[in-house]
Amino acid sequence: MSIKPNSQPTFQPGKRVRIFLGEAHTWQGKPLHQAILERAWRQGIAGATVLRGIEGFGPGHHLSTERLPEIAENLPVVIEIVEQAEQVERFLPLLDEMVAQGMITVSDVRIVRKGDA
Amino acid sequence: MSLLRQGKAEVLTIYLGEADQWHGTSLAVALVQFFREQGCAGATVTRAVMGYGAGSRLHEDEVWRLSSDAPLILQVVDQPERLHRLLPQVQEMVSGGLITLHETTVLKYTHARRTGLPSRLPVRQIMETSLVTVRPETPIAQVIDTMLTASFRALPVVDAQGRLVGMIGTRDLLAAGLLPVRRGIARAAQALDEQTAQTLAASLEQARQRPQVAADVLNPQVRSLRPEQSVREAAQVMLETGLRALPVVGSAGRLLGMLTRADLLQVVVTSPLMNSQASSPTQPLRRTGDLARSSVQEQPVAMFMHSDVATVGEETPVAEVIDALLGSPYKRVLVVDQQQRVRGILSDVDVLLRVQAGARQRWLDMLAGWARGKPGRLSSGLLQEGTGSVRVARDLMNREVVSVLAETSVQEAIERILHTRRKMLPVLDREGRLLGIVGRSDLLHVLLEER
Repeated sequence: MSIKPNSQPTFQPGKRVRIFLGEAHTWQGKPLHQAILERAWRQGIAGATVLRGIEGFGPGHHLSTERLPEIAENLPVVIEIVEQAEQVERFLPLLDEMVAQGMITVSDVRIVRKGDA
Repeated sequence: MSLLRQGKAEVLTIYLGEADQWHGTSLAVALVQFFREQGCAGATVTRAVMGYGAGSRLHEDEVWRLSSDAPLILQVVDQPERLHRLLPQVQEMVSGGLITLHETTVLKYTHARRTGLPSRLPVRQIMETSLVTVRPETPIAQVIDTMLTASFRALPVVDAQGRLVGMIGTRDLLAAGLLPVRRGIARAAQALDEQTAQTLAASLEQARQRPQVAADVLNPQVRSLRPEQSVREAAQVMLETGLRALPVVGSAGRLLGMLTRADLLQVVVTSPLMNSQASSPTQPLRRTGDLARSSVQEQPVAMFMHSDVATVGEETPVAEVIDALLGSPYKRVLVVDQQQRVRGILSDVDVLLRVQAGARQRWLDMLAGWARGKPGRLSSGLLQEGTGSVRVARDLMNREVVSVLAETSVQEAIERILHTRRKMLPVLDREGRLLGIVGRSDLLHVLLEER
């Protein structure tokens, strides 16, 4: 396979936000992870990905695992958002309000974009 | 709205395979349990859909192929110091799998703060689920070895369907003459000089040869919990029975997990990520100094301590120290100076570690006599030969005493006792003088007072 590049990549500083939640957490009657996705979209966040964990524990130190149906009702959920710093800044206050239990981390990343030809 | 809290943290990422094993259980499950026991802030395992290279078994062959079991990714976010401290053990468990560390910033780490033990929180949410068990037909040699290496003091016995048949505790093995001394002492002796290790090995070897199986020594009268019972009820059962670990049994008698006293105390521990103070082993905790304390957890720990503490002076002869030790309810003796300031602490393990090598065997014999309920008169006989440099309490004591101040809150005492893995903490005044002692059960009692 031969691919002919039309442009050189450029790099843009960005942030990766990870939000660690429990699957059973809700916000205004909806699953919290779904509510966060909707708000992120409304605020113009370019994209978000939800991963479902199979085992873990969090701030409450309560274990959940898919191995035992008895404690599988609140499996970990991780939402990843990668955006430019300003967009993330703008979204954080709302995010803070929505996440009553959980963890939010932010790391620096470089977003790779297509440069001019 | 709560304030965003800032903090530098690191992310530990481990790539492994779903089929990877650690001591008979899934490696991922064992790792999650390990991080939880160590008081880490949290861990999440996610399953990938395809991959290669993760997991320890694949490195063996040179042929390219996808992993046959699903790759798993385990992530732990925590203080860099804690992660770095745990790395050697993690590496040991992961043996060859990929591990990465990167920096991140924690903007928020929060959960609904708990006061007391909530009556709505079920046991199943906080129990340990990665268990080491034996079967009724397991030979006694294997029972002994499992008991000495497992993380629990109590070993569940389950049948082929996973139903709980009974429990084997250290006490059952002591009573059956299969273990000469309690588990902690046996483990310490195994790690000591060759002669001591051999003394123990010889008596264990005798026990290993016995024809018994697990069914012969197990205790069938087991107090157990149901998964839906509340943590409050569990604490009541634990305090009533004096047991430090209880099996959790689901429908059809199936063993689902174990609940320990530490698990119950852990319920009220809030943010291990932000609280680096409680994990410092020797610094006194800061004074909370808040007059309007609302919950029991905010009360000073001195309100709940016991003042009947066994103490000896630094110059107390070893024989007297040992009498005091064996007679003390906590199996601990505090060494104080003339102003009652705490200088050291002593347990049966400390004696084993610091007594001259030549006297270790006699100490083990003496403890074995005690374990069989034949205390005998101890006193001076023990350490007369080869006494030399070990004469008085000062020579035997452990100088690293983890303590709390009288005004330290119950909450902070719980965090400290869990993080330092102590069973009890001496309570001191600001001049370092001994006021009393507070143990794990005392703290659990306090949590039950909170409504």
